Amino acid sequence: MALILAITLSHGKASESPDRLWAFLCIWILDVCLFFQMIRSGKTDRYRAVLFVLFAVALSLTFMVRMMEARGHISFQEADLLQCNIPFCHIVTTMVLIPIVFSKAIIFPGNIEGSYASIASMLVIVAGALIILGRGFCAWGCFFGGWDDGCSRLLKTARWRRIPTSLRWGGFAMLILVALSSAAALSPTYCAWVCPFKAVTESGTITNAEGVMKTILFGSLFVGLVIILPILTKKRTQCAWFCPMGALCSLMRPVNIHEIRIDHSRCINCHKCIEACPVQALDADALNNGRAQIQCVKCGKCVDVCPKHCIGYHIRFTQILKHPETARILFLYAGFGFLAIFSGGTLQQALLLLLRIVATGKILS
Amino acid sequence: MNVISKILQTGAYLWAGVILLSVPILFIGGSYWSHNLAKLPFMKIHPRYSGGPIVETTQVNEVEYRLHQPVFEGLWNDREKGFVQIEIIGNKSTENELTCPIDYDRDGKTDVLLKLKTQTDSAPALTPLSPNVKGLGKWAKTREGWIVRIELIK
Repeated sequence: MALILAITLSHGKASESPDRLWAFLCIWILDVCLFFQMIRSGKTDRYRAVLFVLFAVALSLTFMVRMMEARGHISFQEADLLQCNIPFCHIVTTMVLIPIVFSKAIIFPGNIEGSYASIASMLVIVAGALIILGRGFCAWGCFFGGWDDGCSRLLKTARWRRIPTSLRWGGFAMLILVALSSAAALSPTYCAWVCPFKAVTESGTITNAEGVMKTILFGSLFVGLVIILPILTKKRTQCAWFCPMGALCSLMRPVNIHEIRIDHSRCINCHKCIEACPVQALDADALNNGRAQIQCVKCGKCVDVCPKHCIGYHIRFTQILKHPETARILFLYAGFGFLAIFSGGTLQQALLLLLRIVATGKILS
Repeated sequence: MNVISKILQTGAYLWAGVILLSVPILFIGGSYWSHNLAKLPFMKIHPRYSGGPIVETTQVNEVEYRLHQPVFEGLWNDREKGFVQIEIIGNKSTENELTCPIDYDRDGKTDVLLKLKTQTDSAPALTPLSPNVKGLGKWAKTREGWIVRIELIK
């Protein structure tokens, strides 16, 4: 892992700039230490969460600074839309699929390739993530998920416990809704109207009543779904109830080789795993069936809290939990590798940005 | 354990190994994969966003006018309402006002007159000469000049 990360994070060559070299070394050491701790301690989620939350915060920070440097403002303007200069994010994938089939074109004002977050580069990462991780992308790749993952860890105990399990199907309802509405309107409706993460990346310049309404909506959804509800419920409410991309990832379960399984014969029904699961993928049915529900993000929280070690990572078609540590390590190489490589560039940029702020007092270069 | 389950198990571990290797391959070869993906026929921006292909470029003094093909494309067939996009490249023009006669259907008759005040940020003025011209759509001042969309009906 150390070698793979050294090659991928440095792009195969040592940087000539001492600042960049320093940033690379810091992030590489962080990644290697976290991975080492995962292997050594047998715990998965706590070390994953460190990198996952850092990724989300670093992405929002570096994204806004990048937009300020490139455009002179965080929000995008009409000229950026008309010139197709909007960065593409993985959630848009759910909205462009139907139009791709019917009109053989992408309904998004972005660049196909060659720019920051171009459509082709993001679609490659999404395709890879769907095959490699499936819904595990929501815990090992998504650069927004760390926000509500982080918030869901702020309190020791949940203030709101009786959460209807039917809410976990919200993401699927949202997927159907945004896929159909985007096709009908030829516009990425989720991005245009309800994406909570617009509050921490970019949204349109407020020039009219519609802009005001959207800004209020983005802000409220972010505060409600990504901050307040995760704190109160200790669940990743935005990811579990609202995100269409998570639902799309769930549909890839038949091709994913890694999954979470439960050895029902050893289970003492303490339900610690049900309480710990951040996306409500575990319930009594799941325990009886010996398999996490389709919403499972493979974060490993349930594996870590199980007192009888009867939940574990599992490789499909093999004997259930016969070699759980082998399955866990095989998954960690894929999952942690994906997260560490995907987040590497962003974390290095964030570190360089912090260094610049400390050294010069300036946010923009 | 029977032979079939042994084969399935071996296959599963092999597949897990392939998945493991595919992570660095995905990122190291990222630009290769995205470059090849970009070549696929569906990898183009919908004309409702790109403005459609440029069909005519005219140079008048230091100003270049780029006329795009009118866009009516919907999901699978044309829609009643559409627009035509014009790009005016020449923000260094010394003229205070630029007048651009637009023949979007290219039948030899001007369909709409577009007037731009170069020294201000005011919206372009339109004089429709065809009943199919509905009015001014989205417009923006860019680093190079202006992008203007004129709303049309079929």
